Amino acid sequence: MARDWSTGQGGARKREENGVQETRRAMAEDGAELNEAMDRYAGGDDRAFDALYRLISPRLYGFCLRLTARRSEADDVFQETFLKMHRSRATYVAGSVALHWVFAIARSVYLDRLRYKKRRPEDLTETTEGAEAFSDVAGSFASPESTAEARELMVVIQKVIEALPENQRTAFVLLKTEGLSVAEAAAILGTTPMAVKLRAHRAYEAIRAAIGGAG
Amino acid sequence: MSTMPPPELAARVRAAVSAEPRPSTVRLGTRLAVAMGCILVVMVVVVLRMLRPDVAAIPTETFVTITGAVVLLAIAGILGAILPGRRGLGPPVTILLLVAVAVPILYVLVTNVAPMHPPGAEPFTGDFLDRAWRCFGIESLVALVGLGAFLYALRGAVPVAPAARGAALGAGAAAWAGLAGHIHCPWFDHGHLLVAHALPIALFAAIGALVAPRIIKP
Repeated sequence: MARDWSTGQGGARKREENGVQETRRAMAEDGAELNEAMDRYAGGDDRAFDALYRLISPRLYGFCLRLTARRSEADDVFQETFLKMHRSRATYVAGSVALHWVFAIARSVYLDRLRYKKRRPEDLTETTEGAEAFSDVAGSFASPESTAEARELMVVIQKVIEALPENQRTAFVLLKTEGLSVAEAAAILGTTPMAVKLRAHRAYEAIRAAIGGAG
Repeated sequence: MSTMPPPELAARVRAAVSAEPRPSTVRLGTRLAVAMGCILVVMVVVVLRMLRPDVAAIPTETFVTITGAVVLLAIAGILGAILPGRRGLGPPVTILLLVAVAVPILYVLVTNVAPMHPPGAEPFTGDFLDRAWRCFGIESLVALVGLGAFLYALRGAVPVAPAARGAALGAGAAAWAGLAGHIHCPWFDHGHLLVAHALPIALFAAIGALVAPRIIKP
């Protein structure tokens, strides 16, 4: 007798698989449109900028927020990334995934800022701005029962992620929140897939330990 | 997971981008082809004006084998540094580091294990330092032209692993310099080949790693 996938556990799994497939299909369609817009922009078509901004800014801004864990800094990285993207647009390799290229530039911008700050340390007041960027991360670790609890969890995660070494933080964000594959994250980070897995795992363990300690 | 940027940030970005001077629209492939053309022009000059005087006396099979190997090494070295990679972000960092390390070593092996020379020729005559500086200088000049051309072509184009890419570019460009040295210099003393011909390749890999990030990062 054939299994009925529409009900029970099997049904829930099937609905989840369908949801993931639908998300991937939507992302693939957006990705194709983005790559096309980037190709045109790289070729000198300034009119493609609006489409490019519309398609890329949500993902890029989310990435910048999770990378920096501070809204004000994320804004700066976001703007600088667009500027560098604009200046280097002719170097975009036609047919490649525009999102990965943009993420790579954003990370490069962020690394430059980190190096600059190391040479000129400033007293950064603690802030929880940007904690909401980790709502999806919070959801994967726990099921908070109230909005206040959810907020508290996001702040804990934000602090942990802020304290992580940059390479662990970026690996974790690329794999766990941006949904990239290990190979894609390795290409963006300029390292090996093994190193990416190790970094992401260390970040994951640090977050889990912090949540366990806070709980 | 996406997060909408605030509208005021969108306005800031648009204003900043609009204020920028119009960037070059020359695509990367064209830039790299021009850089490769620069190296090839230099090689043609070396062949036409600086060819080693004993080339006619070298057995054809020896000349073709060893010179062919050096040519292949130079081609592989530069391709390993400039290919776009599967995702348009450049070659994997393992390939870049392999190029940076392996090219000088392979050059030493190819040119030193069975150095190319006419039968019965003297490996070296004259002052060692004088000859070494001459060849070192010529190779360094060729490597400088090559590395400079590729760094200019790749300016602002390498957001990932720029130091590793620079090292590979340095080694790849200097491999062509090694080819120039091989075509130009008749001396096959091991010390001379190592110091004057192979050492520039290793040095330029290091120079590339140090200098390239400032130029090739976006």
